[in-house]
Amino acid sequence: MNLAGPWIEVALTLCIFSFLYRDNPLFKFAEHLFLGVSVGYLFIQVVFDTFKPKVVDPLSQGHWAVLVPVFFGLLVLTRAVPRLAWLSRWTFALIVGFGAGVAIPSIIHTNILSQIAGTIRPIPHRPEGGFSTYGMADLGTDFSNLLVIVGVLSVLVYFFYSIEHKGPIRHVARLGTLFLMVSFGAAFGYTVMARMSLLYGRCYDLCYYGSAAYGYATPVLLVVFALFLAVHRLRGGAGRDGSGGGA
Amino acid sequence: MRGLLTLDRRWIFLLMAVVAFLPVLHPFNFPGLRTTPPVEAYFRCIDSLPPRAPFLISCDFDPTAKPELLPVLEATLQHAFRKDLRVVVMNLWPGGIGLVEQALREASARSGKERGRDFSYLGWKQGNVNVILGMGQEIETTYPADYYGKKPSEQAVFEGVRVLKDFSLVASLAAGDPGVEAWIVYGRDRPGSGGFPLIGAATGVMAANMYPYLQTGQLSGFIGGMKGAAEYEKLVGVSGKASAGMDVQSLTHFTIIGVVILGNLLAFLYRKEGAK
Amino acid sequence: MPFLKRTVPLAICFLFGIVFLIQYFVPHQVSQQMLTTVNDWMLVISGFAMFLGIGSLFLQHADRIRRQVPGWGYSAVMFAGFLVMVVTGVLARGKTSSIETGQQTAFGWTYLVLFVPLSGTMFALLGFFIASAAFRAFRVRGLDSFLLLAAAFILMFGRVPLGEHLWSALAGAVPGLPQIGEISEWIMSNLNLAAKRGIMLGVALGVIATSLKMIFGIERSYLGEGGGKG
Repeated sequence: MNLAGPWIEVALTLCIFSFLYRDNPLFKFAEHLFLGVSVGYLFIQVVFDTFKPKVVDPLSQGHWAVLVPVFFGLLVLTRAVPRLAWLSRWTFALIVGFGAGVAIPSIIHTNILSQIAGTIRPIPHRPEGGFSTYGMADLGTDFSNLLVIVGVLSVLVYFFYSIEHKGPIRHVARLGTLFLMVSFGAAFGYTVMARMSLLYGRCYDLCYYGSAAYGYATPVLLVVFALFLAVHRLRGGAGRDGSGGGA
Repeated sequence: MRGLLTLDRRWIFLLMAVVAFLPVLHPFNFPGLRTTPPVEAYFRCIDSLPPRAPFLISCDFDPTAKPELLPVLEATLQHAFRKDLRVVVMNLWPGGIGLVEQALREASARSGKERGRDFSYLGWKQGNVNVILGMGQEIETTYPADYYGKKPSEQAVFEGVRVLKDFSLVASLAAGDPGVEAWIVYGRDRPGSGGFPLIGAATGVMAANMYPYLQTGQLSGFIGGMKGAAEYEKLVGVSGKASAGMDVQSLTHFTIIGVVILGNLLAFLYRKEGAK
Repeated sequence: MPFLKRTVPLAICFLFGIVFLIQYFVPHQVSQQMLTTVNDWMLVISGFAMFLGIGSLFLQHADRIRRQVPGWGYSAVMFAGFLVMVVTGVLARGKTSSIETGQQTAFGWTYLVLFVPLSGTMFALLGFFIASAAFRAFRVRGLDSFLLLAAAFILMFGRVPLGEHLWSALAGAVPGLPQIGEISEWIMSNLNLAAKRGIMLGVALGVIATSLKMIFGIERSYLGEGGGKG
């Protein structure tokens, strides 16, 4: 079994987790490695998954029209030459103009009209079997629909700063903040779930690679790194982080 | 007790580490996982498709969302292959390519599916929402070739599929932007797209933002966070990593609730004491 | 020169903005072809922006190494990481597994061994910090913070099997008490939905206003330094 992969993986994971103790060279090493690896990875993907099929292959087949976006793309690079940097504005103008033109009607449709339609529901709503079957569940649905209308309107009033929030407007805006608080609380609950999931992901790998099959990578490296941090601390390295030449 | 208020945060880190590691080392298998309507709708959307229906899965995540979204992808692939759907997989985020390609390779091998006939992997293209917009116009213009260099039009899996609306169902597994919302704005809701059925899965951080789209029907089904992934695994009948992670999720949530209550109690007690 | 530096980019922005705004409402084949073509340009153009970013990062770190500023060794680590990915990536022609054999390539290996754990762990750190922040800062000081806390507790309790299990025992003892999953789903689909929709409508109106200002040359920050109105 190839142990190099699991050992490197565990070592890098522990290097980053070492930041929980304090900022230290192990973390800085992993942080900069992450930066380099991410950029290198993205570079390769852009070259092989976008430039090759979208630029190199069409040009080699004589599709010269591709030179138009290449020209605008090259103009972006003039940003690096102060004297010619203004040329990049042409490309940015193209990107911004196209993006804005495409976005306006799409956002009106999706995030305004459809959302308004979703808010304005008939009250009382007509149950599937007709009004004769209207029951407690339908009453609940109508209450919820009404609540959504009240919530949306009060939140909009809260964000409407063109009028002073006093009198009845103040009360409506206040109701809006209460809706917002519940929403932020719900979002917090879900964010905790997300963060704990990530934690679980790393814990799972650390435990998995801590077994005999992987040469006890996790406990061994944990001890090695703890010793390193202790020695680093004793040598007064905490104050010298980043001051040395080496990594 | 007062000292707890100024407790070194590293003690809390240690507590979280213990709580997170404990169930991994010794699984408790807490019972009680119940499915919710949005996840059931996600399941139904795939389950109700006829055999050989074309199904697009857009993986809009990178390794930072691996614990939340990779289990969804694995279960979705298993579900789709079991239903004998034609599966096309792509990425809007470059970081996920390796994970997605590996998951697809393993799932297809397990189900005995053939590349080009039963499934295809398009890979990633630079451009974010422009990729969605482009696929709505013509898939082969945006993806002249799949990840392995083969033209989409030369693959049986793309038979009758030229633009986005030709897919019977589209799923976006998203960790941010571009993700589910971009698929609605620049895919599903664009003129000529026919409002194709769209389902989504998102990380917990994004989950709360998806509910307005669920209510309007712009999103037909939704999986939120690792809990949603575990629900879907239960519905599909697989025991994946999301289900295994529910022990950690349960304990860490209870710990957070505990530390918040403790923090508030201490603040309340010593504020009163201070007032005296 | 002001014509080339300012008027031309403003004209390009206006032209493309107006044309593609109208294009939305024109299903004609020519209009569709135009969208397909220009949209495809964007895929190529956006790739060049990445080179600019990489160039800027390299210059900054190369300068740190040249001047041997404290911590310059870490910049060398950054370059080493970049080189490892680029060399393995070029050899594998950008594929994480071989097209012919399906075997994992060296690029795929470095991706799984370096990129995946590094990025995953970097974000996993947040799990610890959110716990610490919750202990120190999540205080009930009034109705607003109480509602925030209550919603967070219901979601954290109701979105895990252990919470659902404990509540279901309670629900069995109290007739008519809904399951915690149902309560949290109701909060998400009503109270949360209303607030999110309100925010969404506000943001959408803001995006539209900003986009129109860009098209009509009122908002010119994208022109960069010296590109403002002045």
